[in-house]
Amino acid sequence: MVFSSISFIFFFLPIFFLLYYLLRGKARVLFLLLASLIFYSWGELKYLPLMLAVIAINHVLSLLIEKKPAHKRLFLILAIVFDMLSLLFYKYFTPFCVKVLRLPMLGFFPTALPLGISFFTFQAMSYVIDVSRGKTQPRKNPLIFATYITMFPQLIAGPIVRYTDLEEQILGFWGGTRRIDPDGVSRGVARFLIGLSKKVLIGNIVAEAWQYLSVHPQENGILGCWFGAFCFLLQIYFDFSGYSDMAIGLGGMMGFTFPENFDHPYAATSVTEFWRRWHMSLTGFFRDYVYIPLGGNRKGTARTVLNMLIVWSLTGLWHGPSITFVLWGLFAWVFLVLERFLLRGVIERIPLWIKRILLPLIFTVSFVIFYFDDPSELIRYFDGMFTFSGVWIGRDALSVVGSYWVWVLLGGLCAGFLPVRAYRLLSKKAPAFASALRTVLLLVLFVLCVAALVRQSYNPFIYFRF
Amino acid sequence: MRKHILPIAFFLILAFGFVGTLFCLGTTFSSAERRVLSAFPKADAVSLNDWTWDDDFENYFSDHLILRNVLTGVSAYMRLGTGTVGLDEIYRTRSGQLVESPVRDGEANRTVLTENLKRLDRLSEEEGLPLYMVVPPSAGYAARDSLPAYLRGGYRDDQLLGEMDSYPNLTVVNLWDALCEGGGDRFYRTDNHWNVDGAYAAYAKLLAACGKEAIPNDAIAYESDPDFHGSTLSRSALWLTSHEAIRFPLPDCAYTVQIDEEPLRTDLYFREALDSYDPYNVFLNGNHGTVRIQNLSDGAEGVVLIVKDSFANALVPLLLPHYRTVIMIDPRFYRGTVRELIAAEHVDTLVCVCSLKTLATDPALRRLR
Repeated sequence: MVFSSISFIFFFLPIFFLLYYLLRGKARVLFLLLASLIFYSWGELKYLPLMLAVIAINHVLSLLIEKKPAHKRLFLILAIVFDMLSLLFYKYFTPFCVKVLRLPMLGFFPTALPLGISFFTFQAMSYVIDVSRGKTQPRKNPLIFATYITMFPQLIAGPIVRYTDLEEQILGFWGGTRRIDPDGVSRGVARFLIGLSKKVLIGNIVAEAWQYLSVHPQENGILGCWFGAFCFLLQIYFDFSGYSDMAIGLGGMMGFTFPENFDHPYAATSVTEFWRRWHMSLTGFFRDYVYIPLGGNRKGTARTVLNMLIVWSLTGLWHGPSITFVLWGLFAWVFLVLERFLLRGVIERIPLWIKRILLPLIFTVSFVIFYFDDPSELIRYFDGMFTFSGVWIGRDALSVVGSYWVWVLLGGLCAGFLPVRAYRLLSKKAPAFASALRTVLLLVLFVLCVAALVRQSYNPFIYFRF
Repeated sequence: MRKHILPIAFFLILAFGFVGTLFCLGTTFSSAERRVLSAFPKADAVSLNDWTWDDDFENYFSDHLILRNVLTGVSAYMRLGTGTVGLDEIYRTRSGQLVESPVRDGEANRTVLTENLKRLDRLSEEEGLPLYMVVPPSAGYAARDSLPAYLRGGYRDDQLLGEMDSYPNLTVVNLWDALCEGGGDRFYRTDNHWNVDGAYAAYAKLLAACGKEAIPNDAIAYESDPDFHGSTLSRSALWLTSHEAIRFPLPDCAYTVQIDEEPLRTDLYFREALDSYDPYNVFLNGNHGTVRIQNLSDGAEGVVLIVKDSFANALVPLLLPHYRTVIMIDPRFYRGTVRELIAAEHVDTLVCVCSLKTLATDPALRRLR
């Protein structure tokens, strides 16, 4: 079940919120846990035992870390090995055996990736690491940890919420001391509708154009290929940040506060700044649990560059067992190293308007690398983007551009700060009008989203793959 | 209170959607969209584990969502308003005609087209009978000048149908000028088929190719209905598009109609279909494996076998006075042997009346034996 589906919005949510708001204290938390397990099992019941095993083993090992501090390193390693093996087995084992070792596909090889495994294994690991570092105390009650891991808004595609972010909130509801703030609900609804609109009204629509143009790049012409790549640039942002907004919004409606995951990344004026604004919960995870333990920038330039290389290779690999994901990570690493060490002075002198042109091009190339699993397809698409084939734009590509340019323009405008700044300006001058306009606009967008969802067949979240 | 209007409205909409949809779950057919709605999915060990049940449940719930038709219309007009003229492969021309998107000139369609034409060519050669190809260009091709420039180039009907010329046993009836003049006027505004003017133009060209004389249009009696709405309207969800008139010719001869194994009829038309979700079914009640029409008039000669899709349904009433027997077979439903049929019925003329879309995308013709 995906957030941007009719069954989630008009079947799951009404039942969930009716009962969630009626219940109090422990019953509310238990119901949240139950609803989250149902949500997770909805499409792939067979992976429920895996999730329960991750919860049980990490819970037990975290208790052992506290109970037997002398062996905490052993228990920590056991937990990390278990989590990593779960991830490696489901995510990398089959491709490694079949593609690299050229083994035949055997019956016990996993054929599908359990939904959200990259997220919930990382969350479980972060919990055990935090326990071992003494940043948090493990609770004897496994339901608190289970509720944290399974909480459905953030379960499948993040943000990667840390236990320390949620512990007090869950315990507050469990103990009956935390109340749902009506203002938080109001903000949550607004955030959910913004996310839904980003996903359904822009992400899904520009995705249609990309679907057309990514298949036969040689027929697109150079302009058609670039238009397609821009569509994907917009798709991945509106899709993923839309999901994060919906997750944060649902959390708000439930009385929880989740960390932010995006902050207008396409408005960044450097690649470094982009990565501070994009998928912040993942970059934060790698910073805190990989980069800093490796020494960060405290051991000289060469070591810093090496640490960055490790982090960005892992970031690429986290997305999947494809050479193109590694290339994508290395592409980011190259630019980060260039900006930080080699071209620092030069970049600072580049006028902002040139950066505003160059950076989207770099981001576009980066996400084209990200999109293609097969390197030969990537080369074929790059060939279309960078080689003039005698036609500036192909016949079919022209019809796609003609049909979708309005959405690309709209997406481009909404990806920056323009809507936020316009609203702030209006709020200063006419706060009541701005508030009313916002309410009406969000409700209209909601109706348009539902209308679009009733007819849309293309609706997956990109990050469900991970 | 004012700052909580949004969440209150949001939760009310959720509640309305949930409760309202529960009341709609008994509906099984959408006449507006002309389709059977998804049924509640059956759960089994496979479907619960490979997302099938989730997909099916989404389709089921979405199909029955309260105000679904209004919402599909809202979505269609939103896309139309932003320049996305093609929705569910329907384009709206500047004059408001709803046409199908082009048949793609790609390898897959070329392969199907070639196979189908080879099959027909071989049939004509082996039976020693002329085979007339009556293949209309699409409504979109005819009306392409009313489409935005970036969509026009997609219509390659002339390129695709040009392939028919390379088969020596096929006699191509050239319909281009007759059907394209008027920029789509010879097709319905809300349907993919030719209208009666288009059918008459094709009829006149076919008879000329067969060496026969067509009955002048003003000598033919027509019946009409003002409230026709076709399949492109249903598929587009542009519900505000006005309906149009449909006319159908009344053959000036007595005849009997045998549709598959059904009882003999004395009327080509099923007028009750005019009030149904698919008014085009007024012609012969849609498509069937075999339709055999016997002209009972004295002096009618010849037996024509028409290999067809739905375009032929509107053409046959015009052809009927010129033949003693008209036999129509639709390869998508016909399970008999064509050669035995030709021999048994003493067929002397073969005609193929198929749209380019059928010829280039439907491999059913390959089943002709």
